[in-house]
Amino acid sequence: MLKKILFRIGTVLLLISIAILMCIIGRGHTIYFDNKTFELTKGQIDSLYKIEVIIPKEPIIKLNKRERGMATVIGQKLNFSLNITKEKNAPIETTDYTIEIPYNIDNILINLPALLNGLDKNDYMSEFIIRIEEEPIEEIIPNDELLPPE
Amino acid sequence: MKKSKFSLLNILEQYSVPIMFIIICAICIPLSGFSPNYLISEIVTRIGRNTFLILSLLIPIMAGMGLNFGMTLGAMAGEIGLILVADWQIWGIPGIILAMIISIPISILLGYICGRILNMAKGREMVTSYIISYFINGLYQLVVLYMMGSIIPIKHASIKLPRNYGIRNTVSLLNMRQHIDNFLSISIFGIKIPILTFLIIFLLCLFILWFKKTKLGQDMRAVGQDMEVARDAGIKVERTRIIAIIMSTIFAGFGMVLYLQNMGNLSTYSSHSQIGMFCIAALLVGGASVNKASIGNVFLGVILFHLMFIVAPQAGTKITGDSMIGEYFRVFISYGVITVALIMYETKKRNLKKKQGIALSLAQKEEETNNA
Repeated sequence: MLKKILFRIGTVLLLISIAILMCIIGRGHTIYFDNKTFELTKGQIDSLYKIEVIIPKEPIIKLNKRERGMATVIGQKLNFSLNITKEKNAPIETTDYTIEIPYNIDNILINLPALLNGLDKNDYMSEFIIRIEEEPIEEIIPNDELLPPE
Repeated sequence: MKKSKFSLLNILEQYSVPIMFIIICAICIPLSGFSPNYLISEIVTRIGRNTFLILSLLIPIMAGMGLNFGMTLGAMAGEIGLILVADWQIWGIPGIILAMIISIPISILLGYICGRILNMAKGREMVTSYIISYFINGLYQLVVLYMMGSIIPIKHASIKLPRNYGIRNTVSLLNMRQHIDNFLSISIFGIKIPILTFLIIFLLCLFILWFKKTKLGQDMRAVGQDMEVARDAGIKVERTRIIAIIMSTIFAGFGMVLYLQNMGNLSTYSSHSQIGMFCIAALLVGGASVNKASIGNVFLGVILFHLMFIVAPQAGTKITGDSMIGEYFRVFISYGVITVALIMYETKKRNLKKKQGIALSLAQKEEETNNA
């Protein structure tokens, strides 16, 4: 009897552990990469001529000035490479990055010029909030014709 | 002269439904105009999508509880798991596994309720489970339409209705679509074979074969053959029947998660509604009966039933010029095959009783003659 109870408790605990593990390793995020000018308190960081974002198992994101690209990531760590062309006909520079993604944020916006300039994580990374447009509910506005005669 | 066990008449009697389907498919395939490559590719996809669900029906049949229309309860449990996982943004294979784990306690609860009610309706399990599935569907809609978003927190507006509670008609599962199918897939002559999905199905088949040899499995078979004899042998009949239904419901929940990960989206209020009927129809097409079904029946049924599903609309269009005729034909055959199988089962049962009655009366007459 005791063996049966212990086996059942063990099974439940195992399933809960697997569930928690799946929650951690399966957490998905949508990452938006911006090649846009980043406004500082004093001054700004200009966007670059061209940036290529290479994430393993994702299509290459090519961003010209003022463009935005999107990628999906599963897990809390984002490994990616950037092929940077600062100006037209300039040589391509490559850098690798590993960023920790906050667990509780679904959509993350990363400003690449700010990242490349070594700014703090709180500066180059922000939450991207998607607004869902609902169809407007038609309202019937009463006019004099609808009102009962006095 | 002894009648051969494998006489043509016996084979025709035992496999009349699969033979009928083979004939229908043989007529419809050339009429449909589909290439063999396309048909094989579609059948492979549908085997991967549906087999797990149909395998979940075998355990209640083994326990003598007939065709479990209550598998819809497991399907609903799987859907609730997927809705929560989609809201929590757990993607890919981890999301699929998490949805299955979430469905387990819900399936156990629903399976227990179904099993207790079926124990009160011994001999009428099929129709009772059919009505239970409608009742639980009402509860499911209460949970999903009113409680989710208000009592059960749902974060994402893309899943919730505009009124801020209730789930939308369609929940996108794009972030886990075919992740299990694609994980270890190979391509043979342009046909994608989802190895991991087939591996999971194979493991369930192995489990069922192993389970039949365990004490609990043997108890279920004894209960399925004769409840009173099993009770006299010391088997807890009611408890065994409840366990059979719970196991079937849990596997149906897993099967529904596999089904929906292949489809890529979840129709919140309708995905589960026809799943019981089509799975049972497929099992019967494979040559199973109300009291006997095997793994071979499952695979044969999936292939024949879904082959008919693919070719019938196109063949109907070619014959009549109206695509809806093919669609009606497909639905008519689905329900018709269940009706034919049930009639044949009842006829066989009555013939057997009649033969037993005649044998008993002959034995009694012989005894009287001997005594005289």
